[in-house]
Amino acid sequence: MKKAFVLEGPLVLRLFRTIMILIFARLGNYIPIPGITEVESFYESSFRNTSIYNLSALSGGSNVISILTLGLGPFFSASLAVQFLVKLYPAFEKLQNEEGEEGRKTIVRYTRILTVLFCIIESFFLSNSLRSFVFNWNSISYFVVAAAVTTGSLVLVWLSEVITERGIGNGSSLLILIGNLSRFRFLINKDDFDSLNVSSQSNLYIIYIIITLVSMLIFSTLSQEGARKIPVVSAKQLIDGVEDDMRRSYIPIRFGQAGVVPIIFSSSILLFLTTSIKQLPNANIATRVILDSVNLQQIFYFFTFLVLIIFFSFFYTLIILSPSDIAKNLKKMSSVIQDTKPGVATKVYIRKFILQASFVGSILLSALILIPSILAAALGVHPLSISGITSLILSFSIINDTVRQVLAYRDTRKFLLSS
Amino acid sequence: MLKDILRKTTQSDLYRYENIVKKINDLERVMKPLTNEELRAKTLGFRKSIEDGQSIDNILPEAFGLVREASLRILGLRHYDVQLIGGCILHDSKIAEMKTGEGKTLVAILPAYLNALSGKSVHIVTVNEYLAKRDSLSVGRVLSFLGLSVGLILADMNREERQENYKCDVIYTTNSELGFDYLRDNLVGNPSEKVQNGFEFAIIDEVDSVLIDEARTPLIISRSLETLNNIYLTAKNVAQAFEINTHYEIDKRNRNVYLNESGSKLAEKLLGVSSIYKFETGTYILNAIKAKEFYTKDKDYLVMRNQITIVDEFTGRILKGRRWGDGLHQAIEAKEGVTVGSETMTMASITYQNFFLFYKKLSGMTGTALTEAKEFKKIYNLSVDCVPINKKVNRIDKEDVVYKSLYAKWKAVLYESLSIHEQGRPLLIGTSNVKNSEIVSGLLKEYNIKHSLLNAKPENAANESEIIAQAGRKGSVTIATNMAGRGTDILLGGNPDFLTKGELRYIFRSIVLSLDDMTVPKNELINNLKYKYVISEKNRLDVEELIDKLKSAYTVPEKNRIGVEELIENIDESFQPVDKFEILIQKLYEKTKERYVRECLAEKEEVIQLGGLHIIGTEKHDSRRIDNQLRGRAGRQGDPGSSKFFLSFEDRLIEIFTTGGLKNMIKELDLEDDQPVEGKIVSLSIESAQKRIEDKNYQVRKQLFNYDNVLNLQRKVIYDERDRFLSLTDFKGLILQYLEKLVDDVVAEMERSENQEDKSRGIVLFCKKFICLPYSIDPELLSNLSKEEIKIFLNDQVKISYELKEIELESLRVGLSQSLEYAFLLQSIDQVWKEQLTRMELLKESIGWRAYGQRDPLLEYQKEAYRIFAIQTRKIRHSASHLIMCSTSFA
Repeated sequence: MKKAFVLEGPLVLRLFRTIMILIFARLGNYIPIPGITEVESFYESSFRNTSIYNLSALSGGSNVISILTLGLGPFFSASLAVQFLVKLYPAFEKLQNEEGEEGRKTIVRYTRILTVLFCIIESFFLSNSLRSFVFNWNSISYFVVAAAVTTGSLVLVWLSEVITERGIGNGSSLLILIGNLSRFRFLINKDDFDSLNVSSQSNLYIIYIIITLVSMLIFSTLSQEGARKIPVVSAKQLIDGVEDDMRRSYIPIRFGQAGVVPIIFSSSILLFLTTSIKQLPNANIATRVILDSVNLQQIFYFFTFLVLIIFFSFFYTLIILSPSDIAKNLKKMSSVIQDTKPGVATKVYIRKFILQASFVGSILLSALILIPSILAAALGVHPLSISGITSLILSFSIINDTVRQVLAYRDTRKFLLSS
Repeated sequence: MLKDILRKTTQSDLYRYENIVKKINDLERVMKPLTNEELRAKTLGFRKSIEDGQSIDNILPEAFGLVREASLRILGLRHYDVQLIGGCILHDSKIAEMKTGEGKTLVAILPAYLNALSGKSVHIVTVNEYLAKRDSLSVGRVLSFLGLSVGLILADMNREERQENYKCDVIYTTNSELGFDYLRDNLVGNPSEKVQNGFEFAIIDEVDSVLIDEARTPLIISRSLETLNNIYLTAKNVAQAFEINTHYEIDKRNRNVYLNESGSKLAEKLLGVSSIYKFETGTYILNAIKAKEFYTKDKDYLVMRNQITIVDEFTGRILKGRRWGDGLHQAIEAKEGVTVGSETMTMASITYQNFFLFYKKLSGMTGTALTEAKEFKKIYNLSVDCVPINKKVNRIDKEDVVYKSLYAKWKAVLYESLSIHEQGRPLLIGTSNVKNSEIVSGLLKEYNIKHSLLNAKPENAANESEIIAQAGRKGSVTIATNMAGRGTDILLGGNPDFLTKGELRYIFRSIVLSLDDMTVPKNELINNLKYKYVISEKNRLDVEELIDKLKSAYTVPEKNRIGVEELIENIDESFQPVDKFEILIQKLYEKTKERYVRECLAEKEEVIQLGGLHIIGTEKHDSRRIDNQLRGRAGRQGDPGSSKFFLSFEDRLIEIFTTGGLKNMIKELDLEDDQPVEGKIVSLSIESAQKRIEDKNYQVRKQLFNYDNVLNLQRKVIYDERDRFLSLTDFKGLILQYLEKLVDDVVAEMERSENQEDKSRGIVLFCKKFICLPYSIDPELLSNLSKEEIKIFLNDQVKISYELKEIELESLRVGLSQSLEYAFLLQSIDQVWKEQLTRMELLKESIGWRAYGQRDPLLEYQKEAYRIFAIQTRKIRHSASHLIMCSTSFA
């Protein structure tokens, strides 16, 4: 019996492993790309340059220029692309759902190949932006940069897998999280950060930060952990089950089923929009007006953000939770939803149920985004930057996720010890 | 590079073993001159030095050398160096992969002897009783010669025999006996009824069969429930009325069926119910469809004596007494029109995966383990080491050929058989099931080719050893299912020992016959001998004389008949006769055997000249190991041989599991019927399909293992508690503890109800109904008490009334209270455990839905299992308390 559980690894060992890997990954952020010597100047410019800042907030990459600059970004893009392919092409869907482990391994392989591809593409963009910082730039530099950051990004992907499999929590989320935490001081608007020295303002500002954090934590937890249950009865339960068994048999539909994906999607799109609008040479008057007025800009920004988030919440939830899929699986397991006939009625019921849940979910997400600004308005302080909010939301949901896993392990341990 | 490193590390182990072997070889000179008594005395010496703190690793070389010498003296078999290496691997708690015919049984006694020296029982586990018995009677003798006791556990042994045998130093038995004995030991009502005593060291023969193929099959002890015969028949009729794809769909890969909407509607119409999902019938109908679609007579099961008997997919043998679970067996019974068995309720169950991990030390041997090395390591923490082969394998494995249709395949098999048979080479045709073996047999019959048929049908299975003994003879043709796989040793030219024993048996039976009927002349008797050519003119007289003498020596026919048959079964060169009759038998044995050995050797030479045994495979199994087992029948100990697989595109494996490419290829090629496809690509694509299935099955087993671990922990808790009940002589303390906890539970439960009145009423009801207080309590009295006060009050009440109960029972009969309490405790725990098994089964089924909420089902399972278990353990206390407190109402 002992043998079997050694393999599982006790919690402490898993935690230790995770922390060691995270430290290791952080150290990687200080390994420069060969030949890129003017790191300092780029570093200076990079955290003023919000687009690069945002990029790294979403991908767990470094905020200085290093071999880990790309972070997990290419891997995320690749997994999203593959996930869409799975939904769109039956051949891929078959691989994922019917070929078992072997099929899933194939999917993982595709994702990795695509990751390399994305890495190379992104590395060329990166090279371009680096040109001005490198003293003697030549065509070979492109390859050096590409090789360095691609390798770095893939190593990071591997590290994240090691954490997921043999550590605790989701590896890629945790890597993003530590990236965000290491940048924590940049969450706050630069001007506010400087003004913190002024004592009368600073007390209020600290109160603001605390209240924001606490309320965001609450809403984030609600959206992550809150779920509605679809009661399921199997044919077998009808014969042998007691009431208590029925109670435990359900499909949980979480409010935040889509997790942080809607936020990542929407903020990426916004990022793209803002940078491209700003660069429009002869923007029309309406956009000029918006761009000129800070307040209008904020409002416009939030509004778009909310719409995008709500849209992606619904969209992505229905992609990952297809009602007809669930209905089909119910049939396969010869189970039914309590008091609902199998077939069309079941499908309709599930769809309605999911939409209701994601409606609640998107409201919670919107609240998350609005809270800092509303509170700021109420207290009369400068709000957190939008990118700061995004990375806070990400961090909270990752923390939530990890805590849940740790708790689950503790439960297992408790269970083991008690017996 | 990694492979390089891996090779080096395994080699370094090998290097170490080779050094040990050198030491053992050096010791041989020391062992040789010792007398038998001196050898035996060594065992005592070893035991002593172990008691004095010597580690058994230190005495390994000497002990192995001793066993080798003893084996040479007793069996005439000296361990090869590679067999000693095999022994070292087993001793190091690893799996030794050894090719067929390399003498696994002889290897096992090395570590068995060594480990038994420290006074711990060693279990040598085989896959069937025949092997257990054979091994214990043959190589087991070496161990008994060295002063160890050798036990044997067989299915038909009673409790006393088992207890006796389990006490031995080395025990030969089967995996299922071990598992079932464990389960039965945990259902006994008295500690003295237990038969097993601890799990120290197990050496599992054919370890892949036990730990991988059978890993998913749980051992189950169940009790019959009342039967609902009708419902199975009704379900069968509904299933017959259904049509595939209109009313239901099937998933061939996962052996699953499901109704679609028109199917549900039709079922509802036929049964006259509003929704089949609201009634139990649904499961029965699904089972009936499964029985119809996936289970074929003479393939998956046999119909014997009005019963459905399962045929094991891996070994081709019937699984006596085993039933498919969840009502499937009954559905098949209904389909075949035999008596439908009663429904059963699981009382206790365990899987081999869990069971064998009880052993402190585990090792195993087989011819086919490497393909599954990852699984052995991950689940059982066993590494696989290859034992170097003594003689190079000389078998030619020909490329697979694939035909367009089944018909073309069988035709090709027939032609291949004819041509091989013409050459006079012995031929073994492996088939995947009983049905196919009969198809081949029918084909060969049409061409008047004499052949033997070995499959699970009892009339064929009875001749198994004889068929195998003859299978290597010149011109013999054997058709077999997977039964001719593991443990089947086909000797080229025939097996002299088997042939001799067959002859002896025949002679003896004839004698018995002629004694019954004195008119049968001796001459006729000899003329009727089966293997007539043995009795050549030259020694005819000798044999006649012997038979005459036998007749007169054989005095008490009825009583001795079975004894003599057994004697013939077990006789060999070292047999020590005790009376005149036995001396005669032995003489006859020696005479006949001498003759056969000569015959067989000559024939063997001839067969080797022809090219040895040829194997024809007619279908690929899901697992490559099973195919390799079949191939492994040829090319034993360096003999020549060959093998070839004939497949078709209509085979299940190829139809369902190969990827599109192969199928497209066949379409494009537009083949003639008798034009096979062959070549590397075909073989590779089939192999990759097999790999995929193996991997899928591995995932399932791993999953099952993870889930099972949870149940296993609960099982341990329950069984430990049960053992505590068994060991107690006075239950008063335990029951008072239970009662106190019961009161806690009740008060906690009452606290939940909102108003005071409900609370008081609940407690009053509890006192009256649940613990049967002989007086009623005034609810008014309770209303003013605090929670703690209520607790104290109830505790007093319960304690007093328990004391009263004891006195009351004791006054009826002295000791009555003890025996009643004992019975109630066991009843409660067994009942609860039974329930728990069902509940966990249901939980496992429904927990998968949690994945939709992105929760890990395994973690959710652990959590829920923990909660359910907490409820159930509470129930043990409650139920026992209730039964005891209210016992007079039954009296």
